[in-house]
Amino acid sequence: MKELVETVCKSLVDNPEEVKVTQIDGEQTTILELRVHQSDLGKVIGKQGRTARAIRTILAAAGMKQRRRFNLEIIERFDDDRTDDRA
Amino acid sequence: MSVKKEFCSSSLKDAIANAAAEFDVDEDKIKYEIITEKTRYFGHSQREIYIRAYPSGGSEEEELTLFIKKLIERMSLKLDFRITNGKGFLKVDFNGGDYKLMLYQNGNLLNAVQYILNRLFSDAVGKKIYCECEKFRKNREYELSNLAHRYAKNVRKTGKSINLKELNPFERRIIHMTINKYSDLESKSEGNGFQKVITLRKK
Repeated sequence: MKELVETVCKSLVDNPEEVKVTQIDGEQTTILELRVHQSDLGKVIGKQGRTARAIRTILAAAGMKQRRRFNLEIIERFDDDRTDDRA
Repeated sequence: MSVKKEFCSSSLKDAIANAAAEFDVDEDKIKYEIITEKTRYFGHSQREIYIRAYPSGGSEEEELTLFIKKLIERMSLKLDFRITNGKGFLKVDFNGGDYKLMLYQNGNLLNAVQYILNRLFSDAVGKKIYCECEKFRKNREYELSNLAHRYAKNVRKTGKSINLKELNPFERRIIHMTINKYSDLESKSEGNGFQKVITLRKK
């Protein structure tokens, strides 16, 4: 499943080498954490979150086959100076 | 898809040559899109052109086929597909054991796949990509125009306005087109966002 998200996201972004997916298995659900380059965040989210929604739909369908729930979380990383701004 | 890079030169030909040298392929293998084109006048005119170029490893259709294959494999679905060339669009027709999953919740997955494919390939192919599965879209069109006719008769009879369910733009278009045939009725989309509600009423 990790590979599925990687395949789709790597083809969407400008910096494919910085696409990272970590898988956290739970009892019934699996959480997939997606990290991309800061400038590619918009590309994986899309207008009104449309791309993110499409990826989640694809995940859900693939999960239905395996009778497992998959949760996609897009992780926003904040650079150190930006974290300071927010504080 | 392959890596894209930006190049700048005084003419398009030079820019493509630069790109070809960078990617180490022949010039005719370079696909590009023009970002900006400027003409500067400093005594004599000098042009400046920016392009975004990438090498293509074969035709886009092959790339598309490969991507869909990979996608289906990674999703571990039992699906086959066929790509046909239409007028102004590429049609990807899915069929096979898991077609029900594809059409689950009003073709949710089919729409998602179509959206992703368009994001990735419609620029490269220069056409819209249109996904179909077991005549789903055709049947939906028929179903919706029937629905519109039924509601239209109802509105005519009672004179009261009717709200339809939330529909996506493609589905709304069918309703609007059907209602346009009735001269005394009008249809209006209300709400904002992707899904809107259509209201039918007498003029």
